[in-house]
Amino acid sequence: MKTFRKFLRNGLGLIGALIILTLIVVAIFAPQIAPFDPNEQDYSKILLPPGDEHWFGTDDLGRDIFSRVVYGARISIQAALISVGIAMLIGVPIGLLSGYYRGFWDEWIVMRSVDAMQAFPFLILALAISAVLGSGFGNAMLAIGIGFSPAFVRITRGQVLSLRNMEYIQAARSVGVKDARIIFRHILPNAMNPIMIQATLAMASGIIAEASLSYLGLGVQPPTPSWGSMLNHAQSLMSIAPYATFYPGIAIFLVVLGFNLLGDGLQQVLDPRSRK
Amino acid sequence: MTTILEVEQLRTRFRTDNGVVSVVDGVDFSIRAGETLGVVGESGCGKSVTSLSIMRLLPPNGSSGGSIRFNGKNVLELSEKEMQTVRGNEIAMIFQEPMTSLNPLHTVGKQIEEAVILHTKVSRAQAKERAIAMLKAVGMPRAEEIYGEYPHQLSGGMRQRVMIAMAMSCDPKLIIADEPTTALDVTIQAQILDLMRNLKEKTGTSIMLITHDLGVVAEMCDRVIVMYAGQVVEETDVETLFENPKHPYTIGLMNSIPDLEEEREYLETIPGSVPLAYQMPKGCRFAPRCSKAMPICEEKAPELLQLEGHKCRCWLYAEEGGQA
Repeated sequence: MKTFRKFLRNGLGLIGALIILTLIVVAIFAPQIAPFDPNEQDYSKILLPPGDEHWFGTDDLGRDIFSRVVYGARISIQAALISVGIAMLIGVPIGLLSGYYRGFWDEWIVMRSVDAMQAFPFLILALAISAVLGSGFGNAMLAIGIGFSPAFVRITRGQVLSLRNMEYIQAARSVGVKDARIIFRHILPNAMNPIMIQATLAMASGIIAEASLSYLGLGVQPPTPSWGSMLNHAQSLMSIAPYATFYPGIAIFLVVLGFNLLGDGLQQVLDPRSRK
Repeated sequence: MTTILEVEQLRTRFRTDNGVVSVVDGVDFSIRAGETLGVVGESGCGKSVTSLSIMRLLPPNGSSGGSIRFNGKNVLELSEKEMQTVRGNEIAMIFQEPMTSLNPLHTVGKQIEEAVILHTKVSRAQAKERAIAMLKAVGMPRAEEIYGEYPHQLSGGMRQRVMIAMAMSCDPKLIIADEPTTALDVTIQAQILDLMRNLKEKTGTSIMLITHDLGVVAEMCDRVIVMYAGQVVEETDVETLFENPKHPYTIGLMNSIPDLEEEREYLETIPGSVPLAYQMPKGCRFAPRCSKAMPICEEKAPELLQLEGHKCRCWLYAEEGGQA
């Protein structure tokens, strides 16, 4: 409770939380909020500017942009959570074990693989994995998750390397605590802050990565609305209908900002060293 | 008195980028039940590595040879699983830095309980009782409240008391205290030393006290070994050490302590520093810094000689009938 109240007093963190909460509410109640079917095409109302009936205007197929942005929240929130979830599930345990046990596996197998994966531009890597797995939302998530995982291996391992030499880890070992318990109860919680910051940042990139893959036809299949695919679809209309890129762009911006503010706020509140 | 720890020809090496480095080189000593053994030497002489070797807590690139017999069994031959039942239960450790030796994310009580739950078959409620009793035993005021507090809420001296409570919680037969008072204020140092002495008298546990502070040695120890560059250079009981130090290195250490009765403008220092582990001199390891070095010192390494009531690794005493 104390922590919660402290979080409420953390202005920016609260704003971040409100943005993410709004996103979740919008995603859940999309059918109630959206005034139109997001995929319904109306050729009598092509490229209408924002107005009373179509708040955000319509696109070149006469679809209501507001409704599409609202439904797009569903895809984006899934993209953020699933891709980062997969990345953490792969990256954090590998980083923990690799950093704790060191040796040949750590140095030559894990870290060199991480180097190899990070040597590719992220999108190229995700594209390559998608190409192998095939198109579709699930495979896109897996591809992005695998693509993000080296960052989690690296950051987790780095934390473990410094934490395993801390005296309190030595102290825990000196009273006979077993390795598994040392790793998960003593090291992991102390390593969590930078991992969570990485996760919020990665969620923001996950949204963008999903958008990019969707644009290239490897993610969400049309006509399902996702902010990225809307943005990319609308870019050819920039000169005649700038609002068509503005709204999905603003949505991405706000959500990415929200995740970042939330991450910072949580860090300030959850770290007992900063508790007063 | 029975001997509970017997270290013979302990050699601890580390694999490094500069090749294999020998940090502890043929160390022998023993600790009897209820005894406090001081291990003295300057930074880098292998004191801490010796203690980590006994606990088998060396980093992955380190390995030990020789034998470390604790209660008759060779610690170096135990499996990791068997070792985990020894750590905390039979041998426990107190660390130097009370500020960093407690996990910042767990409450003080949970950390003391952890050892109790690991080594004894007790319920959580009993473990909590034990933890609070231990906090009281180490002289903590408001033990019940402290039980639920985090380390950052406590002062350095209080944290060191918690560390002692943690180490003593399973009644170990041997406690290795690695510079337990170095990071504390002088007044707190005295309190912590008093506490350790009282607990030792109550429980009869043995203490291996690692320190570079000869004042602490004088106050706490029964017997002392002086280490230099990974070797024992002198071993004797505490009175003899202060009255009649033999090894030039020990004499140098004694002369570098300020003395209230003697007026001196400068404290004496020992010139130079401990040789690097991968650049050990061929002869006596102390010879390059020794004011009494003789030609033989640079040629041949001296053995640990058995003198009367004394062991000393120095050529000066070879003629006195000292036997290796």
